[in-house]
Amino acid sequence: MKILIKPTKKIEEYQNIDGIILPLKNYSVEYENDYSIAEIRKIKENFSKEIFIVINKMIFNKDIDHLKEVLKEIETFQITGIFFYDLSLLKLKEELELKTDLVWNASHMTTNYKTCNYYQEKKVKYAYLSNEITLEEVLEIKEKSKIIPMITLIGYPTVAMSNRHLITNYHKMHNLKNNERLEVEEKITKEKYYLYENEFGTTFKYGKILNNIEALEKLKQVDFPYLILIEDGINHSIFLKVLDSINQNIEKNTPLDEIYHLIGNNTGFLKKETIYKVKKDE
Amino acid sequence: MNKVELLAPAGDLERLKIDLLYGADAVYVGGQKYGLRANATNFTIEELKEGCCFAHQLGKKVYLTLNIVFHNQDIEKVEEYINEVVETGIDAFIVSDPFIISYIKNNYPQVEVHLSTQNSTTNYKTIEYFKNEGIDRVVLARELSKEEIKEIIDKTAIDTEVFIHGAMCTCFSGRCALSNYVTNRDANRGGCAQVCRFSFKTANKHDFTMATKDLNLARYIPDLIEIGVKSFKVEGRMRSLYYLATVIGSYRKIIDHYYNKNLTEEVLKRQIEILSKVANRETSTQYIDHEADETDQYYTGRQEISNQDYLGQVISYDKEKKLVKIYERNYFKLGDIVELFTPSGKNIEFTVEKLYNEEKEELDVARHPDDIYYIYLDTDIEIEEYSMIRLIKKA
Repeated sequence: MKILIKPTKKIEEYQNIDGIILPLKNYSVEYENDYSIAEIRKIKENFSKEIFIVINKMIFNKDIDHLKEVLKEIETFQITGIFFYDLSLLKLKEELELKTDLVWNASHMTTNYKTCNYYQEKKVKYAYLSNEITLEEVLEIKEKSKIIPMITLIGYPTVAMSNRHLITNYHKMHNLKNNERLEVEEKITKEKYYLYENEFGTTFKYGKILNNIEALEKLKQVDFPYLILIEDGINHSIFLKVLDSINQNIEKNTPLDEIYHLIGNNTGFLKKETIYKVKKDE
Repeated sequence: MNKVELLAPAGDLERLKIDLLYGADAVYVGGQKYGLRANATNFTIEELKEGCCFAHQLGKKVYLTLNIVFHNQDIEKVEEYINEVVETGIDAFIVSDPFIISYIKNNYPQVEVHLSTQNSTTNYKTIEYFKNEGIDRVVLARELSKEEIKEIIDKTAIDTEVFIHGAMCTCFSGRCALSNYVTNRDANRGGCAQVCRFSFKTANKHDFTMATKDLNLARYIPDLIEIGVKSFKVEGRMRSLYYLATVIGSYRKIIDHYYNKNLTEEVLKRQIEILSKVANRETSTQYIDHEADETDQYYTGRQEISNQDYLGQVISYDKEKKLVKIYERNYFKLGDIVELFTPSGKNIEFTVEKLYNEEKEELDVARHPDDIYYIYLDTDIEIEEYSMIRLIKKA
């Protein structure tokens, strides 16, 4: 069982991790900060553990030629894998005969074992499972697919991604000073959502940290391959404490209670199935 | 010359018939399982058979959506369902999951597979990937400009389907779980609660809204035909019969006038005016000619307006007594100027001079939706089944 983190600070500050996830500048969305190719290359020189790069923005025609060059450059410094959303990456891997492994990272759509197996047959090595499936489904995917699965253990979940500049539009229409971020509250549930915007559009994050540590015991039992901790939006010292507690639990089976005090107990869809038929008779 | 296809949404068998009679070349429908409109009536296997039979007799086609995001429990039973559905005679599946694409292509190579817009396909390289997997057509993402669509067609030579009319998602299709988080209804398995049409509180006095205006590409029909788009898709499997008859009828006229080289500004304006009357939201051209911006959204919460122009559906016409029997939908009265329009595109404008209830008693006003009324109309024009009457001007 390996722990990957998506950091917000210098890599040296994180102990007992197996690898890092670095969103690539100009090619990633849904994360707070990103890294240029040069920065990743420099990190790689001093970091001997696993490095995954994220290329998860929607790819448009105009991106393709530059993306090819980026992929060729990434290939030269041998990272562990690339998280991808758009299937152009899969096509380019084949065309450019790239050796770098891929992680199927389709946000809300990585939800079943047969499609995971399809991608595994297409030489995709890993799958970053959706946050919107239950633990039972996660475990079934682990059991029945040949792909190496990853799940979010801790982090603010991404809820949606729009091509539109919704925060800019909102401020413009109401003659307000623009800001890249906006906190909104849904009126009935009173739940908060955080929006942030960049050149690729607007990302929606759920206002509560996803805390899946309740599943840790079962995940340990099945030797689940990868757990992901995303630091974005979480106080750095709290994140380090959470990371330390999880590591201690994995090594020595120590209690995890402190984590609930630090980040709450939102288990997302871990124990909650979504519904999709709302007719009275069904 | 192969004409561009006009593809219409059909939430049930009656809508399928209306669509095809009013000029659609094909319809897309959902089955009882695995479609993204779980709360539409949708089609049983028997209804699919009947729908396919009706369409094929007219030389038209039926496509079935199979485009949910499959969870383990869904994917285990889908193969059996596909096997069953193929027997109904459908012409294509609309799919986003590549495992399903490969299953269909490996087992039923004669059946077309169209890559669903749920995949949000935005570039030619992704299409090259799916082309290798055997897809016959791609339903492009609604976030593309005309130039981007052209480049995709030029570089891939794939059949492309483009949305031309109807509601828009605020977020990328497939990349939105707002409904899951806010309402626990699964957006990607057919339960979308349209949370993007809700308004949210902020720290200041203005609520945050993100609802988009609807899409209307009537003016771009010639351009899109000329760059090689193969199919024009209208959104709205849960829309009313009147909406479908009007929208499909209007686009049929625009397309036919284009091919007949008589699509004048006057014709276009008239059809755009008809489309605007049936719309329940404002419309825009969204991404086709500009980067969608603040003008393509609403800022005051839900904006739907009810449409009361639809007066009723024609049940029959008694040529001797010159009486149109209608099933009333909205209030109208003597002196109103109305228009009867038929599936084959004929329009008869007239003033309501005599009006009767079901017992043939003379009336001044037709007050009760769902009641039967008779209107006097002296015409030699053939009035077909499924003709409708709309209001032009109140008395």
